[in-house]
Amino acid sequence: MFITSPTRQNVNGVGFLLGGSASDDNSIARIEVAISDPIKGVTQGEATLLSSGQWQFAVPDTAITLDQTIIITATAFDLALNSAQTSQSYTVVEDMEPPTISIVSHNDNDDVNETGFTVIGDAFDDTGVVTVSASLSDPLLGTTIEDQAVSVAEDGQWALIVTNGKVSGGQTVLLDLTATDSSDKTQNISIRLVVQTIVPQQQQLISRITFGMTPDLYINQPNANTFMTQQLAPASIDDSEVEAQISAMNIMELGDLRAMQLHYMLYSQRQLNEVMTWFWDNHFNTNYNVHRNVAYELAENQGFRIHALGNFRDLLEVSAKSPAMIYYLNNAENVVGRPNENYSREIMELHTLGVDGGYTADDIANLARIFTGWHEQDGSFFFNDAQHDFDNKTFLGVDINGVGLAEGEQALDILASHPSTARNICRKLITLFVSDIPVSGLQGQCEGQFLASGGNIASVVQVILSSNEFVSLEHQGNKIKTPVEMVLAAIRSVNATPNYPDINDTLADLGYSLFTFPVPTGLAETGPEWISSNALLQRINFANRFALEGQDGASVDLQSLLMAMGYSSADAIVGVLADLTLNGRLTDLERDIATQLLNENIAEGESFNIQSNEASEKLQRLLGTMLSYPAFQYQ
Amino acid sequence: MKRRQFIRGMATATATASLFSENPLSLTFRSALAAEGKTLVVVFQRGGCDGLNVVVPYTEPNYYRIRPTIAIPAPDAGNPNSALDLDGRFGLDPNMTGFHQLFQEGALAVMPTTHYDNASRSHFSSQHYIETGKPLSRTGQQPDDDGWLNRHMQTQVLPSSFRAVSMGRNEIAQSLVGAADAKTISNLGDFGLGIDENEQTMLLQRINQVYNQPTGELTNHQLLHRFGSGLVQDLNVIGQIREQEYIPDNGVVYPGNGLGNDLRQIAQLIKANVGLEIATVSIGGWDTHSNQANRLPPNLGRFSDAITAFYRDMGSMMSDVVVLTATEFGRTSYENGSQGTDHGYASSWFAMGGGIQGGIYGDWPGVEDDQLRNGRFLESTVDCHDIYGDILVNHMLNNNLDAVLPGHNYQSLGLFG
Repeated sequence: MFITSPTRQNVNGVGFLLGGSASDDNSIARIEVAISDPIKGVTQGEATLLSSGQWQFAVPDTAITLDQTIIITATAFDLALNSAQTSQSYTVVEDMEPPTISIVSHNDNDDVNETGFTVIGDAFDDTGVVTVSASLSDPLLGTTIEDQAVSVAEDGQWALIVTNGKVSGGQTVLLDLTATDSSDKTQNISIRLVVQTIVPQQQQLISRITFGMTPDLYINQPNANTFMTQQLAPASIDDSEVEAQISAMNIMELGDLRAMQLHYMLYSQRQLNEVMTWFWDNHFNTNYNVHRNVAYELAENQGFRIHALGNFRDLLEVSAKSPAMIYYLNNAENVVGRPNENYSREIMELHTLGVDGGYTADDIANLARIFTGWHEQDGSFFFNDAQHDFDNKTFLGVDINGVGLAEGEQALDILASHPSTARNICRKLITLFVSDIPVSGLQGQCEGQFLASGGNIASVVQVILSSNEFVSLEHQGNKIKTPVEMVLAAIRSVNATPNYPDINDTLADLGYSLFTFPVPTGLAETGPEWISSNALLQRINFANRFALEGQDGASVDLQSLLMAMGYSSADAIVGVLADLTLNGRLTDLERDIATQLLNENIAEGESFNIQSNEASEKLQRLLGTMLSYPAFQYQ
Repeated sequence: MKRRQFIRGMATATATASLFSENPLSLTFRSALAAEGKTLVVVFQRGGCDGLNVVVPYTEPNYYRIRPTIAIPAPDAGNPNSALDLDGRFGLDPNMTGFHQLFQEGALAVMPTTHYDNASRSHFSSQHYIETGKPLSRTGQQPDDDGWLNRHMQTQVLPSSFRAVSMGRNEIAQSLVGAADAKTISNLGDFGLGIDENEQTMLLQRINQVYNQPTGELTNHQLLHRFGSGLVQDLNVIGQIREQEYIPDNGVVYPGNGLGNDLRQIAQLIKANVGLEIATVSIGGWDTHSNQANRLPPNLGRFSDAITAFYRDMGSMMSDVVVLTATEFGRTSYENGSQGTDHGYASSWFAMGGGIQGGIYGDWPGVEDDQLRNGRFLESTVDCHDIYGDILVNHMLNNNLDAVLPGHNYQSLGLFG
């Protein structure tokens, strides 16, 4: 038996609403309320029973006197006429002041997204705010939100989620909020917001050049240009904390190597460098299961990390001289008189020129002879001149003297600077950062930069990230997260605690095992390869087992995180989770389903309380559901 | 009501709605009504299977000269490693006892020289070409290239909610990519959410609402919508099937490998009458650049055992089921320096069931040096599109080959007699 509201000491002299809860193993028959006022004496009445053990009683002005302390006693009787009692004292004050209302999330003329945004603020009153209502008018669409009630948490926080379709791009909209207190005194506040047609570059940048939004990035809101410039120069970013954690790892087995890679992806401050490291590791795919030597894969991976935004020729050499590659594509068996064409075919088809890159069957055969003797010894690259074919060769129209190791180096030079290589690498980078479908204008600029810079990857990536195409409407959120991007984005979005072996199992279920993909193409980057009925089911499975049960790769304490971030009202929580996980994209239906999950079993007049016992379970359910929404799969 | 009937009832209910919305007689739809109760299973050997060591031309002296270490000996009752004779001219790898038996029963069509014109020797391009049935564009792979099986589905209406399945975890087989609805399943037993049942029920209600909202025009948003909107219904259908223990007919035991598991589940779906018309399965491990003698034979054994088990399990139902096997290319006729073979040209495909007449199809081009393509590869005499055509016309009752195999001049191989 409890009195749950008002929670403040001061109550309004014009009367107020008393609320409470009661429970009994039998059933509550009635609740009697007695108000004891020093001047007016005792007034009695019977409370209205609501669903789920809640009750209410309207205390009239006739029962109370200004400036006096009153004692309210509530007594619950069950069907057997057993009773339980509770008391609470309040001070009756005259409601002198209207409520106060403020907006904390935005300033006047701030930018907001056409696809949706959340406005958050506070409202207080000496006798308790009864309601906040919101109206929104758009010059083109008219009034799209009219006197919509906005729920206010116990601590005064309110939030308004404006979903897609309520504002039009390029317009300045007016948001009008009114707080009303218990004696119908009101306070108004208005704010003008400027609607951006395109998602700010910042949001697009975070979703494409990092492994996902984090609470820190969300709070710090880095300036887009500064962030891009820093990320393109990884050496300028202090990453000593993560480097120290990585050096403390003892990398002996495949699982250790995978944990290391995942740790970099989750926590490195050099996020773009990690995106590119994995891009190259996958571009120059090798399969651990072919050679079963962790050191080979590790050395190659660290080489790609060093040159991730550096020069393409260096990356090509890391791969060509990697023992992992030498065994994977059979250069180890490529010897004079018995050439093996596997590597020479794939380096041209996949790593450099591309399948239409203008090479012939003779080029494949001759390049295989050039690479004869490119072997491994003592764990490193070894040029075995006894097994090398020293005849002169012709490769891509160039006469190559049969001098040994330098022939292969010369072939790498030719391949790295070839226009077909520029085309193939740019096509793959545009697929990674912009669109599954080729973007012809950008493709040309990108190739030009590749050739002009001698294959400087940072400068090529900069062209892509600075382009209009990168932020154009048709390319926003129209990539599908690969399985590893999806799992890591979920973990990063809510600062979850990872369990690397479990993540590896989840990725295997999703068809994305790191370092053991058998096919030389590498894992696909485009949506149709990753979305099907089974894949979608597995993704939803992960989202909910992670959120509800802390299984399948990570566990999270969402309640503590949201409280630390200062979010308490149901709408504010749904709004911030939408920003962290869905790039703020939420339809009306999705918002309603989400807020309903938090407001379930909450009585009329009450609001979601983040500190309550059932809040944690509701928040887990909410996270699992929001990570199951279509927009979470988009990047 | 029996479980099986219930499923059939459900499928029919869905179908009725789609028949009303897409009247097959309406001139605005070129779709015809598909042949109900017919199923096609396509098994793709990914990696490029060395056809010359699958269907061995053991009477050719040059075969033994150009493959000094990896050739398979001519049939010899005293040698367990010798070929299994088919017709006095060709023999199968000795591990393919199941296929050998099927051939002797007159059930197995053998097409040792199958390929297509001006083929690519890239794994990826050639798989793409064979599965789309269209040439690869110069600008590379287009995400919207649809598969030949999907185009078949687009041109024929079938009252089924579970018409096509691509076995696998994620990627749908390229042959099934396209506008018509195809599912992917990796394991019927795992096709669920793995959370508390009450939570799952409530979650599925929410998901069903959310994924059935209208979606925008962005291609990947439509992609997600296409699979997401039917997800809850798929779960219901699979949930019904999963509850029944599956016991193969005729005492068949499927081999416990990936292909065996996939084919066993396809058999289960067919027998559950969900309206399965097309299923695709993949088996890898054929890219034998080195050490072929230790890698190819066991894989051929798994391949033959699993498909034979499926054939025996289906029993008399095989009259309504066709199995076709495909691979992206054969391999170099000469062995390489690593006791392996490199990417080549024509290879062996097989087909069975649905009235297909057993036998060996296609003229034999020979493997003398001057008979090899570019002096290196087994020449092709069977165009894979003609195999598709025979199956489409005779089994799937689809005569709209202009739409399914655009630009191809179909000439029957006579697979169906």
